Amino acid sequence: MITLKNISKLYRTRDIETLALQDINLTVDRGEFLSVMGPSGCGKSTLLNIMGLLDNPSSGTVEILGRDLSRESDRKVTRFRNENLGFVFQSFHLVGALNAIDNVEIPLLYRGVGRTERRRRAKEALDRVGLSHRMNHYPAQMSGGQCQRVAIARAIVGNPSILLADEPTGNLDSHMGDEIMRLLHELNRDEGRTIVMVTHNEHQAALTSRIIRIFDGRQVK
Amino acid sequence: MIRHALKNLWSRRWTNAWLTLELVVLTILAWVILDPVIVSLYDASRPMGYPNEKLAYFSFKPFDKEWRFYNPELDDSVHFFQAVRQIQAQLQERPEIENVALTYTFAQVGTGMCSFNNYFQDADTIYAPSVQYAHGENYFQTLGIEILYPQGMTAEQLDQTPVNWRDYIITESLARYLFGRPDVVGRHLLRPGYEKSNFPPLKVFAVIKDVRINPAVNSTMAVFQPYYICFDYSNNSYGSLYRGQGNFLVRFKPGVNPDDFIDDNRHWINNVLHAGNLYIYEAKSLPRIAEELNVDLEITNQARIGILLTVFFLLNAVLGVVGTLYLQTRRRQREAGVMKSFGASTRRLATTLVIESVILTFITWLAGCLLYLQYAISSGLAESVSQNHVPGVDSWVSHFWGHYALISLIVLALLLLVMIAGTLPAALKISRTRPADALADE
Repeated sequence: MITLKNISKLYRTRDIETLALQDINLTVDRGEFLSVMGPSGCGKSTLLNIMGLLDNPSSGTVEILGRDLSRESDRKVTRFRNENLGFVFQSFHLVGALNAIDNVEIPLLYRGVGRTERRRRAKEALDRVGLSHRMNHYPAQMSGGQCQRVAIARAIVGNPSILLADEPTGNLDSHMGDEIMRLLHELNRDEGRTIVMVTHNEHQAALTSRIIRIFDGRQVK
Repeated sequence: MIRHALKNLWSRRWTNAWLTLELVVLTILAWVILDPVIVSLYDASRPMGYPNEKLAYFSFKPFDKEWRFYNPELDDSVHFFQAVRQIQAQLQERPEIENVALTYTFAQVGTGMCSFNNYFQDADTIYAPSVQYAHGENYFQTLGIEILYPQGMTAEQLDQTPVNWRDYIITESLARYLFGRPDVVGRHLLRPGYEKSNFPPLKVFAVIKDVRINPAVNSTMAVFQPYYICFDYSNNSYGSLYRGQGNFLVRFKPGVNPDDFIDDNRHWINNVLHAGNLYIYEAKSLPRIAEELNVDLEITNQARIGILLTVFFLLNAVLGVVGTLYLQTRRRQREAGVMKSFGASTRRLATTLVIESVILTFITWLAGCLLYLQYAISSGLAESVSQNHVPGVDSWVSHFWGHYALISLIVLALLLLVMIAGTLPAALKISRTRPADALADE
């Protein structure tokens, strides 16, 4: 589903060059629940951003669902991301000015889905994560766990085949973290979604189908 | 997209409260400053009715008796007449000059000086400005005014047709004001007190196209009173050139700038252009006279202060509101990153942000204009400069709702410019930022 070949990422400022990733080769199969682990600053999030087409590699190729989008326009890449990828961020990144259901509708809004259909699917997604009773609440009115569940609903509402989660439990306590992980496993097991998750948590990673480790920008065994 | 923008605006209504207040105040300030400035600029741009950029007055008078150039043997009406005609001929001989007309110094077109008399018709009385001109001296031909009635009459024909002192020439707007229509040749022009006197009634001899005899005011109502030049300058009889002073109204040929001619030929004007006991003591183009008149009437100062205020105000608006908008938009970079992650294109993001600004502009503009309307209804809007309450030309300035609508639209255009200037650069910047950069955690 996702194939990374010789991926490198170099960050360049006026004075410093930082090689965040070096020669990463990786394949993610359909239906897999992959964990990416490593110490802080090793390049895990950079790797996830490249997989999710949120950032461009300095060299190498990224193929998702058999397509190499490196030469495509920003518009095409954005549309591809909208249709095939869903994101869950550590800080939730919900839009504070919008309530839960409006946040969940965002991917459908940019897909051009009509208002009634959008609302129906957003309610379904919230229902799936067990938060339909909170759909008119704003992020400031919800707990961390609830916010993350809204974020997951937003990630799945467009029915993407791939979910990318960057430390989805990083800002949550263990109890809420477990709830989120349970939800992700359900999405993977019951709906066959491919999930790539960046995590620090060995216990959570052990429950996934495969772990890859990154150290100083390189993949290690 | 508009619904999305409206939803965003509504959800950010408390965040935007201060900005909204700023914009309402900006709208009101824009009204206060722009209304008089735009009315002034409009008045200044209105045509004079004659080509004043081609005209100049050359003013003559006799030497003082103490001056060494004064010749007592030439101090009589015959020599005075000859001297006037010699100077006129010298001017006419210049290749740059098209026409020269002898006229009076008092109550002349383009100088701001005129006499006022009451004229009435039925119940309407108007205190209209009057210009005295020397008939038979190519006055209208030199001035370049179009004759409307009698139809087909040229300026040259008007100048050469004999008239008497009761035959008045009036402008079209005065004809419409008094008679309701312009074709009023032969109609009597009534003046209070005249109906009881033995004087025969005044008569409209011709109707001319509107002219602004005073460049500082808006009115085009005027009466031209003809006199035949009398060269007996020892007394102040009708038609005489009082104390031997008079004007030559000079029309220059196309392509000749009167100010340049006067400046380049200063030596000739001062030292050569004289005859008998007469000399040219002043030469000024009509645009320069108008400029000095505006300065004297404080109009230029008011306009300059108004323009300075406008520029200062605009700069503050650009720096203040634009800065606020820019920072507010930039603060939404993370939100833009989220939107891009989930499928918002660069164009759509930027457009949504700009549409939000435009909608906010409309709302605050409406609020500001409605607030200002309360003041405008009680105190009125800016008015054209008028003289002795002579009605100005009917235009949008004097129609309340037309005036209000026009200035409101100009204020709206200004606000939109400010809003877009503040929002668009920030919107483009954040919408072009890569999602990974926009979402990078602290």
